[in-house]
Amino acid sequence: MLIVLTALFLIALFALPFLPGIVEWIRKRDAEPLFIPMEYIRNPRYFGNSFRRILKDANADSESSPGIRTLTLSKEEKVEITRSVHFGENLAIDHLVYTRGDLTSDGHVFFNKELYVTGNVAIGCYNVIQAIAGDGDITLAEGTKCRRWLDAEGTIRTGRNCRLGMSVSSGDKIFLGKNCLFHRLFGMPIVTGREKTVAAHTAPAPSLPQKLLSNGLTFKPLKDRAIPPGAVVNENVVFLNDVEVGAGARLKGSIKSHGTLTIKEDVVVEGNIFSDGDIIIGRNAAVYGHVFSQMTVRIAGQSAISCSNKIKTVVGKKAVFLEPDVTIYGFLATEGEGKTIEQESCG
Amino acid sequence: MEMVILILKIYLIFTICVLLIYTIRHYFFTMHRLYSEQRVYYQDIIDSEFKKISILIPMHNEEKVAGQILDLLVSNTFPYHNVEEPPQKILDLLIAADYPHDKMEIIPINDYSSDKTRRILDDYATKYPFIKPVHRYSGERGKPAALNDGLKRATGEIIIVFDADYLPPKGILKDIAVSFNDPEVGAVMGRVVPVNTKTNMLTRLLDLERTGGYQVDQQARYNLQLIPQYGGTVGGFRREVVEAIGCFDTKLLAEDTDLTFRLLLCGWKVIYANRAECYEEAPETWSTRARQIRRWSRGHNQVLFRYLGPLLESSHLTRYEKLDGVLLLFIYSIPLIMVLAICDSLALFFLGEMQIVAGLLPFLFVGAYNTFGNFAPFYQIGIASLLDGATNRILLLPMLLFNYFFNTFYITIGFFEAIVDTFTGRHTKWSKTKRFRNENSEAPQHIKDLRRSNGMSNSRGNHVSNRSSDPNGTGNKTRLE
Repeated sequence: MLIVLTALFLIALFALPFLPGIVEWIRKRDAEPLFIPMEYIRNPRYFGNSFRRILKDANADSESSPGIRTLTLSKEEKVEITRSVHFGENLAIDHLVYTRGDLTSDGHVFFNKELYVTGNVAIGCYNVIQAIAGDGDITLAEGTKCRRWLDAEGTIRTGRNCRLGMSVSSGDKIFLGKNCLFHRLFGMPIVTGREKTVAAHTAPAPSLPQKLLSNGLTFKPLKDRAIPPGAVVNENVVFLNDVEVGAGARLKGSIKSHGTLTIKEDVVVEGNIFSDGDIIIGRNAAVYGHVFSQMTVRIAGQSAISCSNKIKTVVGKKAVFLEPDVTIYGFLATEGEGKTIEQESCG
Repeated sequence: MEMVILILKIYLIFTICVLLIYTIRHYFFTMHRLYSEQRVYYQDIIDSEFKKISILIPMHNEEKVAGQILDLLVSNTFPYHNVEEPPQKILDLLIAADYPHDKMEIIPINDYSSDKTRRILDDYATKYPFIKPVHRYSGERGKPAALNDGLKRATGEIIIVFDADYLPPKGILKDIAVSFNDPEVGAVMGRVVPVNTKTNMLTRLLDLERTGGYQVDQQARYNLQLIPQYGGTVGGFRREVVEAIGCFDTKLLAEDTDLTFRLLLCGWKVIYANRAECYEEAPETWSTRARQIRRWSRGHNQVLFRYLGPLLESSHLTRYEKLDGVLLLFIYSIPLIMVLAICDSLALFFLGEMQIVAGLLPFLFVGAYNTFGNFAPFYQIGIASLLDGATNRILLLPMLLFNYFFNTFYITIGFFEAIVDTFTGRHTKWSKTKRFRNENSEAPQHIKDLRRSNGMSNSRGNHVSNRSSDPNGTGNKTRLE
């Protein structure tokens, strides 16, 4: 008897660690495969498009007379349907606003819910807004804070010191004032500093054949630390250290650095720029490909990324700093701080 | 006799050192994945210019799955030549399409199939001009030889490879292709996620293994700029580069590991894309799993014998990459080292020579190793599951003990087969992993919904061409990982 009990005790001791697993195996409480979104497509204007779709699904556009309605969006929400409307100073709006026409506001208005505007939007100084989807232009005055996102079919203009939330996207242009903070931008183009007429930039015809070099690579690995000013580089190059591309150089391929990559003024890069360190782009540089840094990207004035008929991307994982008069055609993203800066410190 | 005992003791100490190194490696990767800054992949790059891609899908008797992968890949493209669609719908489809079909071609490679695979592929080819099947009924058999024939037909700048049982989501082609904007990238590997997790205990344990391998191991290696491994599927490489290095060696069973090391030795980088996730079918029987793990071990060890020397001598790799490369190459040798160490310790025990070192310090060391060292792989998998947001499946971790003994046995057999392969130069025979999918297979609800809404075939390629696509996408998961 004692032997049997001892054996049972030992078996129980052995089985004990497996018991929760056996229970889970039988009950299957967490047995579904890990979720993969099978239909997911990256869309830089997702927020605005999605919000418009939700409103459309809730038949908000069929509500013709002004007033406050309760509509079922993702949950039941109060929606104020208006024609062109103006919100006076120091108001706090705690419901969604659906405006058929233009929307304007004075200073210090709090829009605590999303706005959808079929016309143009002009937000006054130091407003706080949740999110705006606009079918026309959106203009934000100085000091406006956006908590989530902005999306416009037309042009987006921001004053100084605006905080632009997670995403700003436009079907047209974006003009950013000084000292604005952002995370993601999409516009054709994105321009910093004063609004100006954006001249069409066109890309040069690709001039670099992607042939293999003698060692089997399509890039040249280099331990050098500089490309001389005015040099023309006819191949993709990968630098194993920090590197400085001299003023006026022309790179017909792509360039990658394992350290900091500094591009001086008047440089032209026909390909992409990748770096494991910082990327610093000097004045009047032109890059026709992507700019991707695992650290920080700083772009000086009068520089252009991509051209008017191509969407390219600027990614600076930790931060992106843009001086006045930078033009970017396409998408910009950072996990950290994105900022339009005043001082001209690059290059 | 003294010499034998000395050798036995030295081997035991050697094994302890090896185990310690791998324990440290497990913990280091896990802690790095958990607490350190993550290196971002390139999925946030949006580009209006698409590289031409060729998608190779080796198939041998794949009638159960051939239709499904082609349906999913076709639904990523536009147009469908369906004249009944209203113009606005076509515009929506164009927006929703992930990769323009004039920039891609799908090359299913029928490798000596005797079932309906050939007919299914030909049916698709007649409907979609960008599906260009290759039928192989002569020459060498097996995946590497099939891929070589596919490469001859391919015209894309980038080659993307899927196994036939995979279920690629919509954005994955772009996610993989975008990495080749980096001039240094030679190959990229995505993440494999078992779709048939809840079938039985084996599939649940394999799901945990995959989670640990990708979410922690591969991602940590990518973070640390070491050697993420190209896994032969859900991945891509540059066509001209692979052609320049002689395509795939048909004598090797691990053509993916072989490619990883050949690219590295030529100066290219292999990177890992945790975001490029794709469902696969995990083996559902222990015998199928045994054949799979044995083949992996055999192929991986063939690569070890071939590339260990060149890896150490390479001028293209940093010392950390070399260290990681060595540890990676030996990964399928560890079970044998362990088995020998168990025999070794038994011999020493019965010879009365077990006391190698004495004192408090070794006692504490053994205690510490028992507490932490033995659990390092389990800890890694647990953390990986945690990062994936898993909950109760972590309770299955102790069950991996059985997998461990099972793997040890078959990996050891694979090791000895690799030794014989290396010394005799014999030709290896590719053993395809058996498929289990059928009409009754359990699939995640969102895939069932997708199949239903898209009118996709369930298993045998009886696809319906009048499918619709969600023009709105499923969400902006633009994220910097």
